[in-house]
Amino acid sequence: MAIKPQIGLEIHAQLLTKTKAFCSCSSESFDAPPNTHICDGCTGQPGTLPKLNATVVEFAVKAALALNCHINERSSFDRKNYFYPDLVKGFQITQYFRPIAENGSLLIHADGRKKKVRIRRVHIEEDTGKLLHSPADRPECAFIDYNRCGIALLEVVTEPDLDTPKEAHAFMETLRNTFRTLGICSGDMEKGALRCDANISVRDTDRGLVTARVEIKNVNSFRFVEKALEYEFERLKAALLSGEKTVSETRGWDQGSRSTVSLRSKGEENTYRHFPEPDLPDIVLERAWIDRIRTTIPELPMEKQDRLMEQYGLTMAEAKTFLDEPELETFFVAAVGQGLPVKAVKNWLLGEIQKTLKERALTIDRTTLTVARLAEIIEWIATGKTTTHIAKTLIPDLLENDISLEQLLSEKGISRINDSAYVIEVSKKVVEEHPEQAEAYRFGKTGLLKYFIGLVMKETKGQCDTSLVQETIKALLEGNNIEG
Amino acid sequence: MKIDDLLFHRLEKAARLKVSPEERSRLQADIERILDYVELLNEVDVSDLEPMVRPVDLVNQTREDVVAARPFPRKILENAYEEQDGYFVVPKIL
Ligand SMILES: [Zn+2]
Repeated sequence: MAIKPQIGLEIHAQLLTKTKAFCSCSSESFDAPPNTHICDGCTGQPGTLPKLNATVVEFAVKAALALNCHINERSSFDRKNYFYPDLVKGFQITQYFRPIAENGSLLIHADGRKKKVRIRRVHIEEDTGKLLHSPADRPECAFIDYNRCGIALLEVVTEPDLDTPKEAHAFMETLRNTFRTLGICSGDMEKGALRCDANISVRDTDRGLVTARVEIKNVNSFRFVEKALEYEFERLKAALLSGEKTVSETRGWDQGSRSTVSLRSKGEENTYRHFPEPDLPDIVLERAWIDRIRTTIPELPMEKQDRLMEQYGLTMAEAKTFLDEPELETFFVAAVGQGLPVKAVKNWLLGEIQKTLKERALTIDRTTLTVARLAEIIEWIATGKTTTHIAKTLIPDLLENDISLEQLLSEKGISRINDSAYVIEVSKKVVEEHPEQAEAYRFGKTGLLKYFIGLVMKETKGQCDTSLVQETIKALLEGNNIEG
Repeated sequence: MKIDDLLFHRLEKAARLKVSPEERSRLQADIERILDYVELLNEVDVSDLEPMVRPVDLVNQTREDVVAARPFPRKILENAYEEQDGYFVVPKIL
């Protein structure tokens, strides 16, 4: 029996233009005092007319090109009418009948494979005001801030091509990275610069059954969208199996109860009475202009990920980490560019260094670590002047102090013990002190090798070369001659 | 079109207006007359015509993306039914 979800996404991205979509108010709404970036235009005062921001068109075309869309030669604006205080004019300007672009696709990497997700449409619209429901001192009221009202949004609608919540997550992430690379959206979900609505239905392909379509709205992180979709999949699947009737509705994610809750059913939905916006002339785009915009499109995240994998022999996961952490990638490219071995650089950056950076919520460009210092570490290990183990313990210091490895080692009084006689001495002692384990090893519990290595490392405060210790212990336990 | 008391009440509420009983009957009749007048347009057969959205055939009327702060924010806020801490205040919605 095959029971599968079918997921589609609608993503709203605030465009990084300096002004709003149809008036010259600043679009930096987030930290501004309420209602300071408003004018007669975006508050819909009688007699005012909208005037389209040229950069909005340019950004929309960039997005459309990156999403492999067909760009419509002529597109136009419409009014979506509804009555709610977040919208002063009583309608939202959008592109309903003729969007700027349609029929595109975005390539994503999910579950270790590539997948093409079809884009149904990309269109320009304006953002709404922000409501503050029932503020503490005035629970009987709502406060409204219209700074956000009129900010340019790009809405991207996918076909229901996503087969798992994980794929939905990967799509959102790829789209965000793409828009960031294009410089058209900050992608900052906490600030509402990127918002995602998801719709899901579940089908039983064997019995030819399908549930009602549920929309999930107002979720403010990719992770929560994924969680909400996982929850909805299970809920709808259970309903499908038990024969329970499902309803088309809008649901929200409640992080407290880790479940989705019904916001409204479709019956209560507005009819928006879309009609053409008479105050805004159509947009007509020339091929030559579009081609010029095309030349400004930089290497996109998925292309870059593929290139990193090919050029440096990275795995998909490694390439993705560099994609998500541009500072780390810059460092990597610089280090490899200076002739350091790819494998060592990658292991250090994606291992101990990234771990320490995460713990300290730092990016590598804000530390004292330089390519020269990393080169020093790699060289010292390669020439046996220190061990990987010791170097790892020094990473936090090397990120915070501009100090050479040599200085640091002497300051800390650490020296590499590569005297094999010493290693043999300690190893012998350890084996003698644990006769039962040694016996068990000889009877086939070879996993105990690690246990003995651990004991030696502890005894020598981790200053020995692990491979030397391993060799020695193995030889001892297996009764081979080690002195000669 | 008939504007009955129920519909009138909804309009009154939506527009946040308080209308006296005398005004009400006058307004009800006015709105009905206006709607009937517009209704005349439905008598014209437009089935073969391409809809015309605007009388002039302009395209690409855009402006540069440059901030021009208008001196109005304060004035607009002063028009609010109620204001507090720089916010427009409306009755609770949720
Ligand atoms: Zn404005």
